[in-house]
Amino acid sequence: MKRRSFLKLSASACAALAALELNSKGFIPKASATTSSKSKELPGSLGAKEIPSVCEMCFWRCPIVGKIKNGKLVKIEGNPKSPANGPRVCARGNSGVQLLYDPDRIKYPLKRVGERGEGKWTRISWDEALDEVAYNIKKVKQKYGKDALAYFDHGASAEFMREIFKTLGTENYTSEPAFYQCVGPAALAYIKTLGYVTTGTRQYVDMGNAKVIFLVASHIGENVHVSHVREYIQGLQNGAKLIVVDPRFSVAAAKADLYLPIRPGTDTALLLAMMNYIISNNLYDKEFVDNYCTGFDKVKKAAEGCTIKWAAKICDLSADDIKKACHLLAENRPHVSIHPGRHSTWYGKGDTNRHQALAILSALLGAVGVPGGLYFPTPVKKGHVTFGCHEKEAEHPDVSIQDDFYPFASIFGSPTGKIVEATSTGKPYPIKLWGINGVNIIQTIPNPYQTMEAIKKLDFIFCEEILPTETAIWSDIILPGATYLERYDSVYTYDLLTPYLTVRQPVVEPMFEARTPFWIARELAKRIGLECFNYNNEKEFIEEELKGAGLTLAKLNEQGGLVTFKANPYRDRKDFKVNTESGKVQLSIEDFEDEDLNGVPKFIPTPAPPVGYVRLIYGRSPVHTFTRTMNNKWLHNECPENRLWINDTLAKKVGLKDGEEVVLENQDGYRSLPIKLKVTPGIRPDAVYMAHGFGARSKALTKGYKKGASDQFLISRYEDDPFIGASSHRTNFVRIVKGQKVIDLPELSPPPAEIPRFEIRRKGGKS
Amino acid sequence: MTGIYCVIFNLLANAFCYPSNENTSDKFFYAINALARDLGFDTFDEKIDQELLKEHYTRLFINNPFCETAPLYASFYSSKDNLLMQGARDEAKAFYQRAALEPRFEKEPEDFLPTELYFIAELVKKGDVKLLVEFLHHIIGWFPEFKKRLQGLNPHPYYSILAEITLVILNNLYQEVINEKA
Repeated sequence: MKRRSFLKLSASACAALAALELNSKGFIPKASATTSSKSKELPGSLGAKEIPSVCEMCFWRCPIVGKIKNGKLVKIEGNPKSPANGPRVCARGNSGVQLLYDPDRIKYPLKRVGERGEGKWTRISWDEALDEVAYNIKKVKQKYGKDALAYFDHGASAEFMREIFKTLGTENYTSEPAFYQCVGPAALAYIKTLGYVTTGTRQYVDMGNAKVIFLVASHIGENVHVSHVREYIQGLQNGAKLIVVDPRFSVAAAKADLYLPIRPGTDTALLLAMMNYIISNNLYDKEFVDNYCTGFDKVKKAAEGCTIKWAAKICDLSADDIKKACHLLAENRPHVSIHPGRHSTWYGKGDTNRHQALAILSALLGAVGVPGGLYFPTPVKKGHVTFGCHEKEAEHPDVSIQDDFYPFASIFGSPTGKIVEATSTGKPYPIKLWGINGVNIIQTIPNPYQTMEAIKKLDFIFCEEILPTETAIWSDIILPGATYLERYDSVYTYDLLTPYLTVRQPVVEPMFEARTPFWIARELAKRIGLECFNYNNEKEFIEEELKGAGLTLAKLNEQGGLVTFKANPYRDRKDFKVNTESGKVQLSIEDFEDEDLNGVPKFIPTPAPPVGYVRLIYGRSPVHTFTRTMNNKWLHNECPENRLWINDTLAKKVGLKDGEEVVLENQDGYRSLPIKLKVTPGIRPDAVYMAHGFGARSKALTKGYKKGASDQFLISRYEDDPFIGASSHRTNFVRIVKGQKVIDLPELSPPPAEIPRFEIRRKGGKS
Repeated sequence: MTGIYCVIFNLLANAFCYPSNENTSDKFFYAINALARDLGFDTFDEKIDQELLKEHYTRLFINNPFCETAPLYASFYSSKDNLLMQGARDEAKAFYQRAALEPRFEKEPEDFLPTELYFIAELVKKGDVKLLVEFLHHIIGWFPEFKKRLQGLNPHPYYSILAEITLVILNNLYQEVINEKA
């Protein structure tokens, strides 16, 4: 049968269509047609155009090459010119492709149309979005003053908008969970002891040349930064002995020569006892300590009485093992890598002192500025660029969040917890607007319930985001940021053992209506009326930065996008000097004493679990960067959900089996999403463990939603670090809920009398 | 093949674009309803608030905080991992190149539904039956999945009906050009 037309339209339909006068607006003609060259195309990424850039799947910033075919990113590899990672990238690095092409991406500016937190949005234009943000910033500043504006930030994407907040004069122009929920206490301890940020974004610890590597809950191998892991593996290959202190038998512990399964919260007791033993047995580097350190007597005094026997009892460890650790370190000094650690905001009160103890231990063993020990950065020269913003420092208010609560907070900005508190209470002054960039604060700052309540009290909240995270859902305006694969950032220099200079540059144009952070900040500044950003685009200031290194972007790209420099990590003893006031390593810190804080480490017991509960501890999955990658399809396929590690003896006592699904209830009655059990002897019976980042609560994250449980939603209480106001993550306790039954967990390793027990004051039925 | 398809596909393409004054006029809704009536579908109430429609469009096709969306990209439905910029996008791009046409939605992947519908209008206008058959084969390969997903999201009646009539019209045109070739 042959029919000329299947579509029979009525006269009225034809008339309706004719009345519209529609023309195609979808296409423009090209000069000539091209046929598909697919048959001639090389398979996979072969023959692809290669563009050097820098990864941002985590903060480590490995140099990469984006492979482009047919206008599409088909593969990411390490930049072979990089001495740090070479052609290698980790699982996350590979999966940047999936971030770029994630259908859940925020594609256009969005505006909230329902209740705040309800997540009802409508797409709006960039003009409308930016006008709305600018209007609200000006309104809040005028009504409540400059400090009513607060900015939560993280990473390269947040840097330009930070300039705006700084120029607006608020003291809260930066409040980074990267410090207050991660490396802040560690960074402070090392800055004050050694005069430089030995651990911040990076850790200057020469594991590749070490004879002993000492890790206090550093989960290298689960915490993957390619060059760092390579150095660690190099050290082990060379025969370095590995000592691991951790309540859990981590990947690192599995490689250890000596594993110390410590009672959570007692690390400083162990370190003090080790110091005491090393000092009293003359195992320390006397020459280094006498000539290049100050405060030895105070440290000696502080450690006195902290015997191995005492520590063994407090820490629930074998005294022999502690001694063994001391001897291993002392016999191999100074070539010992005492890792400074990161993500170390665990117990609040003692966190800075614990890291100070690690720094002191390095110094006692002379392991500073030597192969195998802590080393010094090699600065790589580049041009200095300013954006013409905030020419003078802003005045802080009479009662300052940065200055008046934690004496060393201002080194890092405004403590996140204090911003949340001030927003909730209006004290010391009201905070009425939050800008958020590069960080999912609801899954990062402890007590998300408090954070969400605070958000309800804001006049306005906006974020720049790539994915529809929990934080985006609470925002009034969402600005779609370009991924790292679609933008330029500043020139990056790597000042570790293999120094280099490189630049992040787009491998593809921004998709949809995503815009680069520089563009967004520049346009927003214009609308607020700030004279900011005296460059028209990123390339202009990058050229300026490169000029300072005798380069241009074209020249750099001709050289594979990366140039290397000679390292200067070690120091001869005769030239040894550090950047502290005295020029010496400060074993005791007067600045701390001046603020009535401990100038030398002191063991402050953190309360033990209440009866029926165990401590909740957390860590990382090697294929994820916390919540940021949970929606990434490839990584999700590798590790779709976390599991709850529970001690096998404990599990047996209460009839729990491996693989069973349970819910956790914390001391305040908050419950987790369901999580499967991993029953194992590889964790102490007084703690349970899960990897952080799972259990997304935003339904718009279609891959990560409700996959596993979020430790964050069980952290409803935290202790402040008294030095900078960082908040603790290991001070919450849980028990198990199986079906409808709440299971109290028996105590198999009771704490000694020296450790107080946490008292539950509020029991709730919150969920 | 008649010029009416050219008008219809321009209309459908426009209807799947974000709501604006252009695609939410009374005349526009009336034309969609007229098509629905002729094809035997229910009609929708033509008094639709543009702002409300924007909210629905965002919820259904862009980002939905309550559940999944029905993305307007062929790759999402034809790749096993539901990703963007996969084989279907390359296919669409190759079609446009063969027709010496370049999409105007340069920030959208080439397999964006409105782009594909506009392309059909272009092919109809040019009378390029060979390419049209191939392209219809491409779009009919994924559109039903899109429609099914959309209908599972409690769509606004306007988008529900729009998807239904689009599929019928695609199939009609496909049958028609196949028969014309035969």
